[in-house]
Amino acid sequence: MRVQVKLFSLLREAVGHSELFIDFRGQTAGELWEELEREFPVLAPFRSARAIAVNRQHAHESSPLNDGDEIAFFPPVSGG
Amino acid sequence: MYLEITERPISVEEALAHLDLRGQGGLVTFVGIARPTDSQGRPLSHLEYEAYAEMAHIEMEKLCREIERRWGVTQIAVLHRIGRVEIGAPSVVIAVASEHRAEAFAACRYAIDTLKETVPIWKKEVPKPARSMYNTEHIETI
Repeated sequence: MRVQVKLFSLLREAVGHSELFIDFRGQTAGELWEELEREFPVLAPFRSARAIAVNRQHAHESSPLNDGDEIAFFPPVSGG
Repeated sequence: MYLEITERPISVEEALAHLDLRGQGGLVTFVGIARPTDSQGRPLSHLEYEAYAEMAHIEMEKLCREIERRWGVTQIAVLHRIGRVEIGAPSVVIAVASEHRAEAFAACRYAIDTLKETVPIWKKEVPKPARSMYNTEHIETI
């Protein structure tokens, strides 16, 4: 499947991209993160605190992915 | 309900312009302001806010619907700035009007607390650069 990945804040700064398109063979958001981490080892320190959204809804590592999904990874939110 | 994420400066007056106060008995506002120091007390130059705008709108809408469900409050405006925010300037403005003050206070508190937990917006604290080693006091500024 082909998915769109969005990165925000410190994750975006670490990787140097805000948006990526990835051909992905896994099934879950957690597996997608692992693939990203292999591609961009600078992401590893963020693993324990990063949040996940699938199609603009809060999600988690076991959330299943489908072709065309928009998956966002980001640090804990800090608005206000 | 009025929600906006904007690069423009925001104000209480702007938020109030989006509320219908007829029939309401109380109005509560919250303004979040860019602090001059970080959590360690180090001076900041300014703040930079970034949003996942499409999702932030969805999350802000959810929290407004929850306020409506819990307290029956429909007159709510939430404005959040993104981009560069100067120290002392508002970064977020929330205005809630209701028939009685208790609901307005509770709903406004819920709105800012929930926004800080669920709405995908990030603040970056930009430190003040260390003071120049040269004395520039004698240089006239125009």
